[in-house]
Amino acid sequence: MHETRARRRGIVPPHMLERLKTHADSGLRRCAETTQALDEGLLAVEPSEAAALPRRAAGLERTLYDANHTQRLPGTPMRGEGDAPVADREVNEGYDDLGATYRFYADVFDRDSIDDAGMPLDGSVHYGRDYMNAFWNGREMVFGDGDGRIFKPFTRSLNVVAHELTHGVTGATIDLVYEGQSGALNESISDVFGAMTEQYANDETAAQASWLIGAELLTEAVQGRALRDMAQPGTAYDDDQLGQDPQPADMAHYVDTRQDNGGVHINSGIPNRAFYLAATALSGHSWVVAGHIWYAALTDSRLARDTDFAGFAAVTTALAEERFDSTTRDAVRKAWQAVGVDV
Amino acid sequence: MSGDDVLASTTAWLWVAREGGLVAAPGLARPRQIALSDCTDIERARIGRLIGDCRRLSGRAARNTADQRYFRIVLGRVPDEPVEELCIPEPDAPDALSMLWSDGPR
Repeated sequence: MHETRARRRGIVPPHMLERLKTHADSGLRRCAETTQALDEGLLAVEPSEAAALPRRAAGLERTLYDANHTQRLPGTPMRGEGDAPVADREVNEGYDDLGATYRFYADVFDRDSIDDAGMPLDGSVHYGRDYMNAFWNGREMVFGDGDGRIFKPFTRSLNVVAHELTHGVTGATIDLVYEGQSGALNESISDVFGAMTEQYANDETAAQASWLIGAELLTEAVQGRALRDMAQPGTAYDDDQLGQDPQPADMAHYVDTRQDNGGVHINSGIPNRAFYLAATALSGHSWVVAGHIWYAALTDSRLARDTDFAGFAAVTTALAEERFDSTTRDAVRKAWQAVGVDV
Repeated sequence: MSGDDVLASTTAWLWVAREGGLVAAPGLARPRQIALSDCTDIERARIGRLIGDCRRLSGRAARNTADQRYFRIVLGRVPDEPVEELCIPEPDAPDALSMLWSDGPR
């Protein structure tokens, strides 16, 4: 049935898409793969919507600010949309990475910025002194420089910049309560879309990707590979300063805690691994099938703000069949079951 | 029992850690625990004022924010019996709280 619909809908013939998928130009390969997924009826979009895909970054409007090592935001404007690079590495990194994240959402999901209505992307760098964090404050993305001993500047990592922007997307869509399991899902969604943004920029398949979050942030003095490992939660670091990575890999090791807003950055390891398992089982580029299922869940009316892991698993499994097929459904269900979430 | 009763107790204790944030590594929370019996009257009065300020500021993260660090304060009358918990978003934290966390005893 999918093949029938593909012939009816597709603008580019399937054999040409197959050839483009092997083309040396990575951008052409990605476009061909995404277009083929759309043509095959894998996404439940109307023909008029499909004709508009993929939309380019027409609404991109970035402004990078320098917080001048204070905690006053946004700070001094340093680089606006279309401006040439400035003599500040962190400003330029933030500018480039916000652009890469915007393009990922626009190209793959036809989403125009955080609110899907061209919301300007503001980012502040050099926040505070020796500040070892990055965050989303409801209006903009904020990045510290790290302390230089444990952490490098937080703009070094594309998937961390994309992680923060994705918190804005989540706030504009499912708006998951930032506590307990719904908060851990909120964090996981930021890791999932952060990882996919990086994979898209590097043209990596799920099998090729590192699935590490913030690998560029740790200094050489740290015994660790990254802030988090989506493939093997709990193994990212074991260091005198940081302690041991506390993320569980499955529900049998779920951490019931009052720390960290009820363990939002801890138990996110469980849905992170579910996505990794689904994406690798489905093979190819993660954003083509698994990514579209997770993105569709963000706007699915069956999910409430306080949904738990089981609720999210049920909806992503249902979406896998509704948007794709029973084979995809089984792969997603198996991924959730592997981390101990009944579905 | 109220938090004021706790602070009046000779066996009262205060615990403070900085939690949350993108990293949320256990080693970064650096919890501090202070036995009020070890404090002078002046220090106890300062802590009492600080706790009063923190009660006015306490609350979970604002909606549609994420990865913001916060200070979690726990008060107890006797060891291992917490009576009151306060959460102060880092951007709102009084300087005295930041100093208590950064310089207080482990």
